[in-house]
Amino acid sequence: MFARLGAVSLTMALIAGCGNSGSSSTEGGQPSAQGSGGSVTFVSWGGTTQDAQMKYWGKPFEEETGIKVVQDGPTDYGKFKAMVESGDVKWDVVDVEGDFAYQAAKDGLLEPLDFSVINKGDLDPDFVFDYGVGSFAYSFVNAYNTSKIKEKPQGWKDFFDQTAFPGDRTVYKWPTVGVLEMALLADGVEPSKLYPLDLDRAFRKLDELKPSIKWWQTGAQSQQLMANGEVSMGYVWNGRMYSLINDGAPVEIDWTQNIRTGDYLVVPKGAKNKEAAMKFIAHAVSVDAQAGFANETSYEPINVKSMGLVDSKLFPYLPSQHKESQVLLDVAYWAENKDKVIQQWNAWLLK
Amino acid sequence: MSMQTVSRKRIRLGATRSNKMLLVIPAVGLLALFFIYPIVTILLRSFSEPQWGLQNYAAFFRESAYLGSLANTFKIAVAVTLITLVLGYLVAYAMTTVGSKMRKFILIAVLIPFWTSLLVRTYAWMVLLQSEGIINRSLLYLGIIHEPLQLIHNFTGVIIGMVYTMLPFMILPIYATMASIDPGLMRAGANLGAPPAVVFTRIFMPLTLPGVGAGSIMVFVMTIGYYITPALLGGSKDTMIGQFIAEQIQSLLNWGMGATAAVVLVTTTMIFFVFYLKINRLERRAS
Repeated sequence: MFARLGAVSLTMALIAGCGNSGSSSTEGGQPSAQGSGGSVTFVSWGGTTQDAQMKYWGKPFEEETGIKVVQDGPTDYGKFKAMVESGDVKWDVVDVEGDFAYQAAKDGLLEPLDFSVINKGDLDPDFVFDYGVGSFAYSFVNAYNTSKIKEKPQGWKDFFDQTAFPGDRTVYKWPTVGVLEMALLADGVEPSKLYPLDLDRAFRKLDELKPSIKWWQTGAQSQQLMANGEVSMGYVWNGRMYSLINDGAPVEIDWTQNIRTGDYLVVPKGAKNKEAAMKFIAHAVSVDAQAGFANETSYEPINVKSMGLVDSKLFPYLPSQHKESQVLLDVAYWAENKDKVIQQWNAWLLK
Repeated sequence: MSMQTVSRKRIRLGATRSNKMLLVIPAVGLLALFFIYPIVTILLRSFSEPQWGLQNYAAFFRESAYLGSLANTFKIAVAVTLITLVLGYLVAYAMTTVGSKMRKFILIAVLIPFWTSLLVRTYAWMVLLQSEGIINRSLLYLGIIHEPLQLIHNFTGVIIGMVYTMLPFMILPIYATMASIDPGLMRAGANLGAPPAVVFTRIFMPLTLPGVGAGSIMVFVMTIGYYITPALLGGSKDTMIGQFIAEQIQSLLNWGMGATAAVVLVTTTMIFFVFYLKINRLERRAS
């Protein structure tokens, strides 16, 4: 009898526990007007990125302005939309991906930025629009494991060449981040003629590689696949590979045709502390804040003046040092066409 | 003292059928507010976004990706349920036959994985199963295989990961049922001349069916909603519908479509459930 009760209550405890482990918990408290300066709620992706953002953006901002920075996260677009729709907006500044910034602007989910507060003069114009400014820049690159591949690959054509460069590949399992662009570049499309994308041609090209692709969906997964040679090449984030190389993994980066994009800082429509939000963004994209964040994370500053303060050791690993054949991801294209392409992408995956 | 007796008496006296129903009101209220209301909202959204009509359902059933992943979802759920049933039944049976120390040990072994986050455990599986992983390397070293086995990024990977995740949910209810079976029944059967195999199949096994049913339903329903494990351990063809729902809601902000997929999933699951209850009832009537 006791054993039975024990087992039943354990089952119940398990069920309760399981529900928790599946969902991500929200950290940080509610925004509260604390101190004379008020507060601003900043939301990002958690982990080391958000820690560095707080260290170089949040803390100095608090000291300078007396406005308290409350942290929340991780960024969740579903939650973002729900807040704006219900009018109960708890977030003031949110770090989002480029295509979401453009889509949200189109859908009326964002406040326009106040460029009398934010100085856009020093910012890379590729990462400035009415509703958002870049938070940091990065590139998708061709990384290869040197224990599997001896000769340095040259561009995405080699990514598809499994005779000269044997082994499996890893690719981000999400179409809006340059995977189709990468396939088209490999197929010989001129970078200037990429957009609008020739979807059928891109999927046909990807068909060649599909049986050898081991998809990644989290940065950690891409690192894991690359580091131990489970795949010989990968379509991956440059910052993740930088930390692998630092840890001594046999990985190198081919920067040919690296596909550059960035995260954006946006303000949800109806944000309670709009003015403080503008001030926070102004500070986050300032020279020192961007340089400090870059030195800690190897993500690239979007303030062009920050480069002078970035450790020169980092230079070989920054997208801006590999401009020759660089391609800029057209986030506006993706904001327009995401829904349509994803239908086709999902069908292609299951094929 | 006397107060207690009086109130106890009152409860007993007042425990008529209609009054008893009052006792469930708080729970029903809670469910209505936090479960039924959101479900109805989702149902409405599937018909109302972006405009009123059946366009989302039309799109769902036109799109091979949705139907394919729905089929995938049920295929994976059935396979996982059957495999965990066989494995779980054996473990639960072992638990009833071993001594109490060993039983506690097994119970803890079953529960320990829950102390670690699901993501961490899934990554651990990736390290074990990959072609350069410990399992493949050991088998190659021992000469059992000559080429690495593909244990991950395919259906095998999904099944291994899901069976591992779901096993405790099968073991515990079956064990609870087995532990409550009166051993005297088996002894009586044996005394009346039934050989051990017959005692097992005619007495023990039928008595464990409630646990088998509870465990199977739990595993089946939970597997249907999963997608993290299949996403990390499976290949591109093993996408489950849960992943598409999350994509629509969180990445595309296409709530109408996400809601539609959710409604289809819940409805299909309910149909299976009703079917199960029917079979169950028929079986009971037959026995």
